[in-house]
Amino acid sequence: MAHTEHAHDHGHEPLVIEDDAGNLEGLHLIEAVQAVLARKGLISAGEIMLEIQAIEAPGRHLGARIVARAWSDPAYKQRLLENGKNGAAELGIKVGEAQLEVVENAPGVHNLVVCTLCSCYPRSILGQPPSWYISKAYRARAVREPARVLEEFGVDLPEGTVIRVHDSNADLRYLVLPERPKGTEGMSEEALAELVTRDSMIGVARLGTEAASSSQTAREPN
Amino acid sequence: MRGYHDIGGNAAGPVPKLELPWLFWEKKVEAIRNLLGDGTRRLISLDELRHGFESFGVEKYKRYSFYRRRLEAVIDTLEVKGVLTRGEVDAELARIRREWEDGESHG
Repeated sequence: MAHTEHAHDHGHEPLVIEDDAGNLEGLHLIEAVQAVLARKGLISAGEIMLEIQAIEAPGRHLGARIVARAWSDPAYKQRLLENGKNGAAELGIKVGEAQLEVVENAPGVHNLVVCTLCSCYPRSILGQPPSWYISKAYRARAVREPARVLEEFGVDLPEGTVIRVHDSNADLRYLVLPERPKGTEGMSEEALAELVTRDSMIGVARLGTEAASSSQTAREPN
Repeated sequence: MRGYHDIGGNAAGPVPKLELPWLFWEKKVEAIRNLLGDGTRRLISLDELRHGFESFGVEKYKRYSFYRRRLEAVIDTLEVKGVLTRGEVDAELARIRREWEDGESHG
């Protein structure tokens, strides 16, 4: 892994990754914390297992349902753009962590989401952020040279496209509403949802322009 | 003053396009933090967690991985609030390591 660093070395690399020893240390340390908290009656093993299930549940599929509905129902899209949290709630999706702003791509306008300070991400819709999203390189450069970052992700925007970069924070998260791919008229909402990739909802991919989008959908069980 | 976590706009190399698996211990860190912050416990808010790893020093910040930072911040915050001490955690850690090593040597 040329771009990563051995855990606990000097850190000027874009992403600190634990090696096997670091992961074992992390496991033992959190188990030690759990044991202390359990002894004090503050937390139980059963609660932890339930919470792990809860945080494993969200994934691409929830965001894809929101996007597919917005493509299919203009009135819904309007409500979603006005208040993302309420829009998600209409589909039974609870955004618990923060407010949600949905930003719409259009011809000539592309949106990109980052969290420069930390790792803020619409977790209740998309699950955990990908490793590159929390990397120092993405956090630093997405706001400095978004077009070049997008190029690295294989996104080739038409000349003159405006790129809007959204810096997330603890109180406000963003979801990109990608452009509906051409040739999808008449498709059902369920079929449309299958087209929507995680990366397109972060803004580092466009739909219907690369073969990559379908392979990503196939790879992710969610 | 600009904090060490405030890196937006800095120069940096290529984005490492990695999709690392989410490990069990990392999920446990998130789960326990969430539970400690829930309405029945209210022991660590997200702001307190962030304050933890944004103030525990640049050396730790650069040395530790994402979830390890959060774990260290959880312990620091709980200690500040008098919920537990590092000493208690270290004692449990020593016990868990001994048991793990015994398991390794017998298994």
